[in-house]
Amino acid sequence: MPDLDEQLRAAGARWRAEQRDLVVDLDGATTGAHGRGRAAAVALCVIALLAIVGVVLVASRPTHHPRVSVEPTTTQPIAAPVNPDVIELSSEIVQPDVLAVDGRYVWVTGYAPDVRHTPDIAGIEGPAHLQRIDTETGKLVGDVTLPDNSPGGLRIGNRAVWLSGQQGEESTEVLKVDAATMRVGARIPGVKTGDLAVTADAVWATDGVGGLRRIDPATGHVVTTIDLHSNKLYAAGWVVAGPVGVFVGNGYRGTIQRIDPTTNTAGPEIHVASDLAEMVELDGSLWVERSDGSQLIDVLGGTTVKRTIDLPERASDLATDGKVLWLGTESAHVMRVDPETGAVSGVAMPAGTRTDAVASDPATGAVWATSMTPTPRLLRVPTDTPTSTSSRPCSSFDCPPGPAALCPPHQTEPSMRTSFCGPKPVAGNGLGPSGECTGRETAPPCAAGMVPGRYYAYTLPGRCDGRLVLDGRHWFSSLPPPTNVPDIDVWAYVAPGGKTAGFIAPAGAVQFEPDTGQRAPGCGD
Amino acid sequence: MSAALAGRTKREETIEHDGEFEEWVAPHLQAMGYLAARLAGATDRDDVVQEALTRAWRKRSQFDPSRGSPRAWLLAIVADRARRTWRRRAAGPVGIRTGIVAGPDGGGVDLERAVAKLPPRMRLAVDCVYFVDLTIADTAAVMGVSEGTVKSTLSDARARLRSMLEVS
Repeated sequence: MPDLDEQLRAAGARWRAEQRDLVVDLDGATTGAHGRGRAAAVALCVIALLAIVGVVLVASRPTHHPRVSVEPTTTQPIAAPVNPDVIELSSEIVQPDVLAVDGRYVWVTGYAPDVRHTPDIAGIEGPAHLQRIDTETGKLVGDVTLPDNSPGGLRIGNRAVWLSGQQGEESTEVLKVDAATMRVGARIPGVKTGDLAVTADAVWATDGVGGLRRIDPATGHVVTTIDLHSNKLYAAGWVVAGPVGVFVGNGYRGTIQRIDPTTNTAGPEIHVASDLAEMVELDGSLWVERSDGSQLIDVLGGTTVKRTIDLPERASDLATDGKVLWLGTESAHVMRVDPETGAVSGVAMPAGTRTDAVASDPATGAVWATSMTPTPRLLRVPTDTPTSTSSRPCSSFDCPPGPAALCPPHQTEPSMRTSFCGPKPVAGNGLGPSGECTGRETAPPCAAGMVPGRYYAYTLPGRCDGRLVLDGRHWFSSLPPPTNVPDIDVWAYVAPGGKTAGFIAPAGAVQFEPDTGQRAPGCGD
Repeated sequence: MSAALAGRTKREETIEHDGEFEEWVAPHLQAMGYLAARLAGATDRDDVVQEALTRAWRKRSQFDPSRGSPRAWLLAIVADRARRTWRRRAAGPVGIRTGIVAGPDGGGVDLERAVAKLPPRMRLAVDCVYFVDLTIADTAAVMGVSEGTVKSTLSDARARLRSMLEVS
């Protein structure tokens, strides 16, 4: 059965196919003749109805405004933990998707229960709760009612818990919760929901409109807003801080920028992918997740794209325990990525669960995940058990079997080795692994798309295979997990007409359909 | 003159004329229609797009290419118009569709009904990405939130959909 993502895409395609032709009057739009009279009537109706809706909304809202309140610290058990590695959550958190680990405690929050009185695009949902849970006893030891309904980033540091909150699509603010007293110590207003990072002397928060706010953790005041020199609409939304440095990530542009905390300035943008999302730092690298959860990108030192790792399943969240990388999967396991080898493996979680957020405290090595099914709960991720290699499905690229595998089997198939159309090209006309110019180009354009009938060569360090993916403009390689082979040159080729694309490497050749990325049945053309 | 400024000047000149406005919006009409149909329903789709086009024409001088693409700007206007249309009607949730399409196994009906039961913000994200076929960036522009929020909202929506489909 196809996964939900595929089902939704198929349903969307079917729905679009069923739509009748759009009938609009462009002349009417530009002259105003069509809409002027109606617009006036519409305006009157809108004003009247907005007033009515407003009255209804006011009348139907709870008599108390969502407030910041502090529940007394409690030892009330959430549920008798049958399994100490599974902690059921209370009903205040219907969709736990924001998580942080602090020693033996886990902090969790997420969507509040839906208490809408009137359906609206923005939605009206009840205030969310931030809960602190002792993982050794499974007991709830703290609960704060938040002013917002869907908190985002959750970070721990400087003796406080920091959250970015959002009420519907409207307000957003950074909240500081005192970890000792469980009181909201500061509410720092902002513009848009952003990501958070904490360092020893600062809290960093993207503002969603092209700036990075530096907040004094002691006072909660914004010290400065660093200009990221970006478009306000498509601004950087991600931030991470760690041993490699402080970085912001722009999901729209697929770029990162290093922040200099001494001068409060942003460095130049470095392109790492066509888009990006969560980031963590580990082993001297910045690890960046693609926004669709399909790949992890290892950015060595935060400056150089070292490699790209294809994830066999779409990842939902990214964390590190200081040794390896962990990713939620929306299924009953989490993925573990070895930063040295890039090997991806699966760790089974209880049947019926679907992991979402993952978090870890590198000080203890504990890793926890959330699951909404079968009921909202926390799951301890076993970090010391052997991982299952069989959980990594092999799709168009077969997994290289055994240790130190050279190349996937299909590259040694005689038919593939001998059936590539066209002569072996000479090096030149290159595209870099991420689509950038390599300096070896002999003919333009070097990065604006491949010209049918021309070969492009580049080097894939440490890999023996790759494939071409057409994203509308660039051709780039999407690599399977690395294998233990020397660097090789690969020549990419687009057949005239652009119907097929090929890769040829010393061990053989493979062809793919540009539109699907799937292997072509034959040599074609 | 900077390239950005030059580009803006050119764009403003371009959409001063009716024919060029038509040419300017034409590549985005289909997406506008899809979005209107998802948000306001099939019956009101054409009216919503018509109102959005009229509004876009009147506000064309406010379009700033340095703040986003024409597509995102036009779709955001459609979303606003659809929202107002629904408020005028004040009946039923936004996005009640008349054309639920079943897949070969009939599974599409359950899925569409489950989508219709999502909280509004999740449903808007699902509608934009899966049904209107917008990119994450365009969806973020329509919703007025960050791209990261769209991603997490979609993840949350899929989780709820799975839960609903499993229960049913």
